[in-house]
Amino acid sequence: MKHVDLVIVGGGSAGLAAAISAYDQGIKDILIIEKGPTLGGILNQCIHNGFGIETFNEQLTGPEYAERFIDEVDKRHIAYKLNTMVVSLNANKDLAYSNDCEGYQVIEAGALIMATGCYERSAGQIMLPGARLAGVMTAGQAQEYVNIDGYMVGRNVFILGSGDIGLIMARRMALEGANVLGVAEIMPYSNGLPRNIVQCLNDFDIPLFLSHTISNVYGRQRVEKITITEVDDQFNFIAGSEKDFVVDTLLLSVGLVPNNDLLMQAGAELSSTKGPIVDEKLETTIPGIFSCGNALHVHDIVDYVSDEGKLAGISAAQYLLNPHFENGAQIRVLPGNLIGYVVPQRIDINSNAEEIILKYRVKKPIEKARISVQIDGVEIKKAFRPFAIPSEMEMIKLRKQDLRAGSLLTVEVNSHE
Amino acid sequence: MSKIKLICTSCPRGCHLQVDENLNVTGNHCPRGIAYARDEITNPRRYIATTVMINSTHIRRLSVATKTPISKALIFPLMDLLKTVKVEVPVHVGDTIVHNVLDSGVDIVATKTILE
Amino acid sequence: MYDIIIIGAGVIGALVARKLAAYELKVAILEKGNDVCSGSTMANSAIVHSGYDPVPGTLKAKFNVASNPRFEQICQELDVPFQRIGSLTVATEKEQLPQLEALTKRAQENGVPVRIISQEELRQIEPNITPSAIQALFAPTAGIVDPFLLTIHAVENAIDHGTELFLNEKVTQISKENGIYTLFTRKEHQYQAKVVINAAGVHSDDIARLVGDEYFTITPRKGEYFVLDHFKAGFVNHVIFPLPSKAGKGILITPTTAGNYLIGPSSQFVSEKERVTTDSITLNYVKENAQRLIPNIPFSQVIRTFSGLRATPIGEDFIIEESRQNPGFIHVAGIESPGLVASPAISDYVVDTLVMKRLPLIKRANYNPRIRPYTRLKNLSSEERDALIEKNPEYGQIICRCEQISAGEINEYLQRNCPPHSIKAVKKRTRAGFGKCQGGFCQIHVIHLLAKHYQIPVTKVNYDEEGSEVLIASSRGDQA
Repeated sequence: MKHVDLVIVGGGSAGLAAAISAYDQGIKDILIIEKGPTLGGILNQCIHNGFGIETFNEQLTGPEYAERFIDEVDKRHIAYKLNTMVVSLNANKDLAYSNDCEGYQVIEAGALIMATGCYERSAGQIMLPGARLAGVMTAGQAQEYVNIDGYMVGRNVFILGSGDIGLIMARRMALEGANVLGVAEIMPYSNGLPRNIVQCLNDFDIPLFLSHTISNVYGRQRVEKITITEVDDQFNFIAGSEKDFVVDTLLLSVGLVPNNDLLMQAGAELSSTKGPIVDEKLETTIPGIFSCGNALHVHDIVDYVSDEGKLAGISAAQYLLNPHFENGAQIRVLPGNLIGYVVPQRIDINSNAEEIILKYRVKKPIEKARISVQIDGVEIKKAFRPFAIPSEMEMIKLRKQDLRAGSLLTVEVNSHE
Repeated sequence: MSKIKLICTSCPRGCHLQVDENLNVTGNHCPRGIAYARDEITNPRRYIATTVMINSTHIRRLSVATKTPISKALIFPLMDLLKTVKVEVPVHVGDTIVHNVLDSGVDIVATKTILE
Repeated sequence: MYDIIIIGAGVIGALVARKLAAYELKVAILEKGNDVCSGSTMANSAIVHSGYDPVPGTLKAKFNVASNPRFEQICQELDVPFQRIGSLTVATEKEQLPQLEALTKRAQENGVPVRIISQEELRQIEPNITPSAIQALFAPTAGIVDPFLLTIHAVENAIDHGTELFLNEKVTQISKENGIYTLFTRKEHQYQAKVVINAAGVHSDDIARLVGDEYFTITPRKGEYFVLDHFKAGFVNHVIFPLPSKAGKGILITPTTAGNYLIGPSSQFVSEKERVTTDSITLNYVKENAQRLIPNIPFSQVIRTFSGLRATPIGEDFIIEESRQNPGFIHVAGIESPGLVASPAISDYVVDTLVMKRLPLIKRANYNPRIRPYTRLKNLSSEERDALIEKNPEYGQIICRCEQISAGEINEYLQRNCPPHSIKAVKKRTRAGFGKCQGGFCQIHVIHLLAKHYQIPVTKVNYDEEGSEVLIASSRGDQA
C-alpha cells in the first residue's frame, strides 16, 4: 500500500491553510484530495467581497481569497489531486479514493486532516410542506448554478432564511434580473450581517418578513406559488396571517451541517452538531486524524477557518514529528447556560500550547453578555461583549496558566444587566 | 425636521445612525459612521460582483468585481453592459476587464485566474 | 396495431408486460408520466407482506400468499434488491392481545407461518422497541424490496423482448369498433389493440369510464412518510407494525433495502389525484404514532418527506376482471396494499386466466426472464473496481458523494432499455440524489450526463415530468 505522510481531505479554505502550515512545520510528503475540478472549495462560488479583513486587511472576493492560498500551495509544490473522491476511511488511517485516471486506490496515511466542509439543509430535512417540485433548491445550489455554471434558475424568486447565504443570493438573483419577492425568516431577527440587510435587501427593495416561515408550496411540475405564515414565539402558525406569492423559484437558506461521513465510517466520535469531538490540537477521537473548518463546526468568517486550518496543520505536523508523544489527562468541555456548543470538547490540561482558543455560539441574542469559563464551577476566565448573537461565532482565549486540574470545563453566558 | 435612519456597514457593529437634512450624523460609534452616512445620502456607492462569459475550455464564467465602489444608480446599467462581455483566456486575478466602465471612473477587474 | 396495450407502467403494468413478453405477442405500454414507476409504485412502504393480514378468501389474501415466496427468484432474475427480514406486529397494551390472537388465526387460515414472541425475545431482536411492548406477532416471511428497480427492470426485460414503451402518453379517449380498441392520447396519438389492460392505478376508474364502465370507483388515499438517512445499521431490524385498524396496517417503521429507514404512512382520503403533498400536521401525527413503537427515533436524521396515493376501491378487494360489457378490456384496479407483494401472482392471473381467453399464448422461443445485472460499485472488491475503471474511466468518477454513485453507473442505465429521462428517473435507478444532501452536490452532474446523452441543452433537462426544467436559461448570451 502506498504511504503518504499527511493526507488532507478537502482542498477548500481549511484544507489549503492546513497544507501550507504543515509544510512550513517540516512535513513535505503531503497530498490534498479534492472532489471538485479546482482547489478553493466553496470560495469559488462566493464571488462577492468581504473575505480576508483579518488575514490580509483587505476585502477580497471569495475566489481572490482562495487564490492567495492556492498560490502558496503551488509555491511549495504541495501535491494535490482534483476530481477525486475519498470513498472510505478506517481507524488505521487507510483511505480509498476514486477518480477516472487512477481508478480505485488505497493509501495509508501517517496523519489525516479532514477538511470536508459541510452540506446545506434541504427541503426534505426541514420537512417543507406541499409538493416536491422543480424550482425548489438550496441557496448554495442556486449560487453554484448562477456563478459557476452560468445559468438562471428562475425569474420570480422567494427566499426562506435570512442568513448571509440567503441574503447574498437575494442580491445575486436581483442583479441577474430576477424579481425577488421577499425573504422570510422564522426568527424574530435576521441571522445575517447588518451590512447584508442593507446591501442585499434594502438596496433592491426586497421585503424581509421576520417571524415568518413557508406554510405551503404549490405547483404542478414546478413551484408556482408559496404561502408564508407568521409564527408566534413557540413557532406555531398564527391563523389569518398567510401571505401568498406567485413564484417560480424558492431558495432555501436554512442551515449548514458538517459533512463527516468518512469520520463516521472510521468510527470517530461525533457531537450532536454533527462535527467531530476534538481536543485543543483539533485531533479527533482517532489518534492522528484531525479536523478543521466547516467540517468541524460551521464558521461565518473565512479568516478564522484559515486560522483553524493552520492549527490543524501544526498539530498534524507535531503528531508526525513526535510519534512517541502521548496525550495527557483530558478535561471535558461542555456548553453551559445559553451556550449552543463549544469547540474543542476536550482539553489536555498539561498542554504545551501557549494559548487555547475556545470557540462557541450563544443560543439566542444576548445584550451586555458576560461570558464565564469555569472549571468544576470555579471561574478561571471572564469576558464581556456588548452583544452576542447566534450567527456570530465567538472566541475566548485561555492561556496555559489559566488551566488547572479538574474534570469539567464549562462556558456559560449571562446577561449582565 | 425629518431624519433618515441608516444602519452603518463600515464594521460588524452596525450602529443605527440618524442623519438630518444638514447631514449631521448621530448614533455613530466612530468617525467612519459619519463618513458612511454622508456618503449614503449624497452619493451612495456599492461594490458589485458578478460574472462574465469566458472562452475557457472547462469553465463558462469568469468572476469579476468593481475595483472600487460604483454609484448605486449605475448598478443595473453595469449589469446590462457586463452581460455582453466575453473575455479570452488567459486572464489573471486583478486584470482589468473593463476600464472606466460607463464613464464612472471605476474599473471592472477579474477576481480569478483562468489560464485555458 | 398491437395485440395488447397496457395502460400504466407501475408495478402491475410492468409485471404484466414482463409476463406477456414470454409469448409471441405485440405489446405496447402507455404511461402518462415521464418515467415508469411514477404513481403509487414510486411512493409506498416497499414491503413484501407475509400475508397474515388480508381477509381470508379475498383476492388480496390469495395473491399476497401466492406471491410472497417468489420474490427471491424474481429479484434474482431482475437484479432487484430484496431482503426477507421478517415483520413484527407489536402489542403495547393488554387490550390488544386478543387482536394478536385473531391475527394468528387469520395467518393460519391464509397459510402464513407466524408465531407470537415474548417481550424478552422482542427486546433481543429489536433493542429499540418501546418498553411498553408486551408481545409481538413475528412473520418471518415478510420482506422489503426496491419497488423502483422491480418495476424498471421488469419493463426493461419486456422491452428486451420487443415490448414498446410510450411515455408521456395520457389516454384521454377510447373507442371500440369490430373488437378493436382505439386509444387516443392527450398528445393526439392513437394506439390500437384487441386487448387492453387497465393498470392505471388511481386513475383506473377514469380509464374504465372511457369505455362506459362505471361500476367501480377508486378513491385516492394519501399516506405521508419520513425517510431517515442510513445513519446506522441495525437501528431497526424488521418491519415494525402496530396492530392494524380500520384505517389500514398503520404507521410502521422499517429499514429499506438501501439501509435507510421509512416511517409512515398516514391514511386519509383525498380528492386530488395529481398533486401529492405533505403537511406538518399529518407528519406530526405520523411522528407521534411511530414514537409509540420506537420512542427514540432520531428525527434529526430525516432527509426527506414524501407522500403517495393508494388506489383504494370502494369494495375493499382487488378488482381484477374483464370488463362486463367490453370484451378484451381487462381491469386491474384497486391495487392498494398488498398490491406490491401480490403483483407477481396478479400478473400471472391476468395473463394465464384473463388474456388467455382472448389471445393465443404461444411461447416465445428465446424468452429470457433475466436482465443483465447492473454494476453496483459498492458491491465490487477493490480489484474488480479498479479493473472496471481501467476499462471505463467513468466508473472512477464519483458523481454522488452521499451514496457514492459513479458516472459509469448512471451511463449504464442511459445505454440500456427503459433509460431515465429526468433527474428523478436517474435517482430511482441509481440512488444518485437520494442521500443526505438530496442532490445538492450531484444534481449538476446528473444534468450534464442527461444533456450529453440525449444531445439536448442543459436547460431542457427535467427534474421529473415534462415542464420541470431546473435551469431555465443561460445567464448570458452564450448557448445553454
